[in-house]
Amino acid sequence: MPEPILVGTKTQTIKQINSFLFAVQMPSGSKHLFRRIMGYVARERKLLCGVLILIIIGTFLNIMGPVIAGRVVDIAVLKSSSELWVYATAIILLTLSSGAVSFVREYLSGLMSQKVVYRIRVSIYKHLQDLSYSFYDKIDAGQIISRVSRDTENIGGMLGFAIPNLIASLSTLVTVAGILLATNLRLALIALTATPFILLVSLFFNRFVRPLFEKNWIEISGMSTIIQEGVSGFKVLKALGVENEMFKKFDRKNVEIYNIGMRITFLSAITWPSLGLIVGVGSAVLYWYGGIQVIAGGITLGQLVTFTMYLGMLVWPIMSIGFVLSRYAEAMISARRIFEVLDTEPEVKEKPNAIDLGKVKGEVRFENVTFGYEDKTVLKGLSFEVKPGEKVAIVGATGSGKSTIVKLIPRFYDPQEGRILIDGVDIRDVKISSLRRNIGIVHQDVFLFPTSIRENIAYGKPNATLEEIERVAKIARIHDYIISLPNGYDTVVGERGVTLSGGQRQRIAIARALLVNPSILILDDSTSSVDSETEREIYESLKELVKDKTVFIITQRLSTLKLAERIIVVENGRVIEDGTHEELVRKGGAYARLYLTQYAAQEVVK
Amino acid sequence: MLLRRWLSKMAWHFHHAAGAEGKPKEVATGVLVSWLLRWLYPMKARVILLALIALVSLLVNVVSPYVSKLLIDEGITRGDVDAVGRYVLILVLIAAGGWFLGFLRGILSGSLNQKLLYNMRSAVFKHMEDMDVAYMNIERTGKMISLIVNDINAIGDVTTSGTIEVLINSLTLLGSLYMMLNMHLGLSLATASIVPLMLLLSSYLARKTRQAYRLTREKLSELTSSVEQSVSGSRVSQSFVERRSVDTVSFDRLSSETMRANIKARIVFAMIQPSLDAVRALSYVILILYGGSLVASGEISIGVLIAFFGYAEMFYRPIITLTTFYSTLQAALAAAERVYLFLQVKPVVKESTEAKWIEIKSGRIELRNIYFDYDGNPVFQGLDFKVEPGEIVAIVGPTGAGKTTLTNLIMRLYDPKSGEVLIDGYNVKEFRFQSLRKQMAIVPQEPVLFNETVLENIRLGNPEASDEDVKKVVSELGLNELIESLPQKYDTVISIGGGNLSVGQRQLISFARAMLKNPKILILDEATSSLDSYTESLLQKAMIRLMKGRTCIIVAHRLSTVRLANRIVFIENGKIVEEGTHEELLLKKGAYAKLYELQFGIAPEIVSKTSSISVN
Repeated sequence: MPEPILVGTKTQTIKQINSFLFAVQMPSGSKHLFRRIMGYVARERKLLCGVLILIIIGTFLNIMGPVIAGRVVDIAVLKSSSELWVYATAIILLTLSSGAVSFVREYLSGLMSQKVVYRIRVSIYKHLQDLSYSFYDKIDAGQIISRVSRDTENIGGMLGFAIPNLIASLSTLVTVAGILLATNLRLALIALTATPFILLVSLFFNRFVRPLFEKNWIEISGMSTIIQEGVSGFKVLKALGVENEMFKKFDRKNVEIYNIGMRITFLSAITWPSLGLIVGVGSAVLYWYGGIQVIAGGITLGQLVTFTMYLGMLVWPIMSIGFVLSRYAEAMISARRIFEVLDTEPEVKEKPNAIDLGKVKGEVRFENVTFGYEDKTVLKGLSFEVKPGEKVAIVGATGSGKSTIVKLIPRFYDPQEGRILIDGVDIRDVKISSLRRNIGIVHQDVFLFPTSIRENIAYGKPNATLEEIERVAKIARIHDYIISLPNGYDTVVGERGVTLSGGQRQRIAIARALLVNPSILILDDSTSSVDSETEREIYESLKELVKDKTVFIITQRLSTLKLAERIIVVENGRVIEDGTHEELVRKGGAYARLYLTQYAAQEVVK
Repeated sequence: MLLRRWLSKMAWHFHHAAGAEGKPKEVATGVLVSWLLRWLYPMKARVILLALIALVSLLVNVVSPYVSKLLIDEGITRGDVDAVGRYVLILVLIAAGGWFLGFLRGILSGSLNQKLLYNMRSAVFKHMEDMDVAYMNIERTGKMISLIVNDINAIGDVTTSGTIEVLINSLTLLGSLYMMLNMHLGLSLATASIVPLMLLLSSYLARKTRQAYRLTREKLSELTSSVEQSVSGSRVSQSFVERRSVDTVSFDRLSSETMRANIKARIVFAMIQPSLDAVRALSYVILILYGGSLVASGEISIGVLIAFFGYAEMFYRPIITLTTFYSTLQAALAAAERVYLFLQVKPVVKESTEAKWIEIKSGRIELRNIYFDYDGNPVFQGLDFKVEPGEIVAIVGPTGAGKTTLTNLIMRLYDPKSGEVLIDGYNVKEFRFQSLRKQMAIVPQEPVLFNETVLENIRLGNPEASDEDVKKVVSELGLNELIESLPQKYDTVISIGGGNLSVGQRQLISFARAMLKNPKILILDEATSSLDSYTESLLQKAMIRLMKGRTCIIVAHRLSTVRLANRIVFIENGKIVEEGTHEELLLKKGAYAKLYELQFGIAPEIVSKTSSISVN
């Protein structure tokens, strides 16, 4: 919806002023983003109201301090100590009450912001679970993590610190200025002359110093990458003998960080003492003009003391306005990143009237399936049918779509055309969970969680007994290795614990898939890193277990292929041959050729 | 069994708890401090200047309230307008001087800090590069990053600006006490009487804050790793539907714990200002009641009372700063200890001072009576192994047989416990590291690429090579086609971890890198198995070109590459069990023949049968 031009240009100008003065790039649509965040805050509106009321009470209590100090001075000058105890009591009461108010205010604003952060986090997490493979194909894990941790913290910071701070600052500024002006116009004007200068310092800081901190942070994370490469590629760097080159690379970053650090040093060295200068000169001028006034009898010495104390009270609220604005802009950028995730629709969606598939027999049928990733079509009208309990190998060159085919069965992706039926039911008509419960899939790249081996195997069946776990581990030929570890099944996997080889990881993944007892088992090159002998043993012991299950095997190894009852050869997204190993070799077609090129590569020396 | 498991678990917990507390210091604080001072020593002129400036600015600060007193007593109270003008001028000058001194102080301490950080980062990174593979194998990336980035930062701030802060604060404390004592003894003592309370309170708050802060960090990192797990494991969790509700519940619990930790921290945080204000108010009350009555009785002037308000402020602030500084100091010392300890570690594989640059002429390799173990697990016990110049030897054997260890010894990434590794008859220990490794190349099984362009990654083989040299090498290997298939050809930047390239493409870069070295000796830890046959044959052709005219050792996991070798060595349990050509070993029907059969799932005879089918 186009906005009226006038309003548009006005917002534009304000944005430009902001971006120049505060070096704050307000993200576009900030207003809209802010409103959405306020949607989360709305549920805590009672807390919000409490915070606002406490801010106002707090401001009034704060400005009382200098007034009392001034009165004390005046009484002391009059050399009457009789009323002093009244003021002493007043100060104690004032401190206690303003302390209590500020404590409760801080607590309430913390409570409010943290509740909002909590709810945003949980909703991101739940949404992440709904998103399909295609989302995870594109996204980088670090990005998501920083959205859940850093971005939500930014929003919490804005709600819990920045906004209450801004309101408190503004109300202090207005009240102090009002009192000053009401008490003594000229003196007030002198005191207030300091404010534009303080504002200037604040703007200077935000315009020039803060961006450097950001830059510094970026350079440091660049340095971390170099260190990371230095550690993980340590052996290769040594073998290449390029330690010097790596050090040069590190040194370039180090120099860059040093230079930024020096710039920050210089600018900070100007900024912070300047505040002292402004307050110092400001109070000197106040003393000069006010002193003459006191001598002339225009005001009391106490009033002068009050004025100088107010001058000091103006510094932080003004400085903080700049900080708050940039925090706000940061939070809006974070908000946009968060809503980006929350607004991503999962590509694979469950129909509202989806039915429960129940336990299947394992008949799988592809009917004219066409599927492509963003840029390229992989499957072009592919059709085949697999009977319950059949063991099928899918063969083809890299990029022919083998892995894609098996990823369509659990609906990790949906085909663009055609349909896939399991036991005669279109998989898009059933509940996703009921579909996937029937399928066990083991990928080539195994992901294990940094928890114990036991928990990893029991991942899909958290309440499995140790006996069940040991049984599948034995079939996957990993049990003996596991019990050889000092902590056995409780050994933690990954950086904190044992480092497993590729083959051991694959075997754990096989055990994990077997434990859920699926009707359809998919082994997507899942023994590629297992040595030949162990692989043969695994398949040997699998035979009994998968007797009545449908099994899909994708493999590069000829020896494994021979275990399949039937081989489907895929080329250019279509099934081009289908039959047993012997049939296809005899046929002398694509499979026979493929079979021979594998040998050709092995016989290349001849 | 069960008991042992339980005991080892408990031990781990204790260790972990102790680590979290960071208490058991291995290095005495005195050692750490003198170590830190050694870093500052080269910059001693600046340190001294900084201390002088700090001293002067302190004087200026301390004098300022006294001038206000004079202004009030001699100017305003006496009605002397000239005196008012005079003291105001002094106040302005003090402010200007304070600004200038503050500026100088900031520049000096900041640049000192930056220089120190720069030097320490360089030293630690260099030291890391000097370590040997055995040590770095157990180092974790995260630990090194936090050593160079976080720990050094923590040390830097404390040793430069922190030390100056402490100095200034303590002197301010003494200076303002002196000024107060000069004006009125009783009032000074009354003001100072609050100090113990102040000390107790601020150290209590500092401790509480630290605890609360630590808890929130811990919770947040738990939360982060839980998200990390579920994102990187998304493919797994999508397959196992039963998991979903379990995961959601545990994430919900974690994030509500994080929320509670944050709210708790907020409560501590919310307590700080009010409690410090309360103590300060107490001091005001003393000043008002006692000081006010002193003014009323004429014992002191009103100016003195106002000056006391100023000095009280100057007196309390350093106390708060010093107590909070104490905890920062503890953290900095812990960080210093980590950096110090790392710099103390010496590599086991060291370059001898007499090491020379030796040119490898023939490329003859000999291992004599090698004994080697990893932490007491023996790998070789008296291994003898020879490779003649220009020979291609394939090493075959089960996992853990010692194949990779053998190549590590030749590159001197490890030293044998006893025995000698000779190249061209020279012990590898006589070579300078660079001389040895620049004349050899290794193509590891998992290619290691860096976050730079393809061109730069290849150039790592020989940093002096020109762009043309690199391109020439690639076409010599017959791999142009693979480079052409990359989105930006040679300028394609490889992502962290190399995920934007296929395994084949990564391996190709690794090959080209080795070729660019033009090594006398080439070690191939064979390319991964899961390549499609087209890429595999392409790489195999490249491999043949790469091996031409060099002494080659191929660690073979797949038997397909074994056929490239003149000689096959079968290793099992660190011993050579069979040796000979492919045909010889097949005929022998020993370990090699058995492995071969397993690999192809068919007895060797059948191979010839299937080959004959292709004729039809």
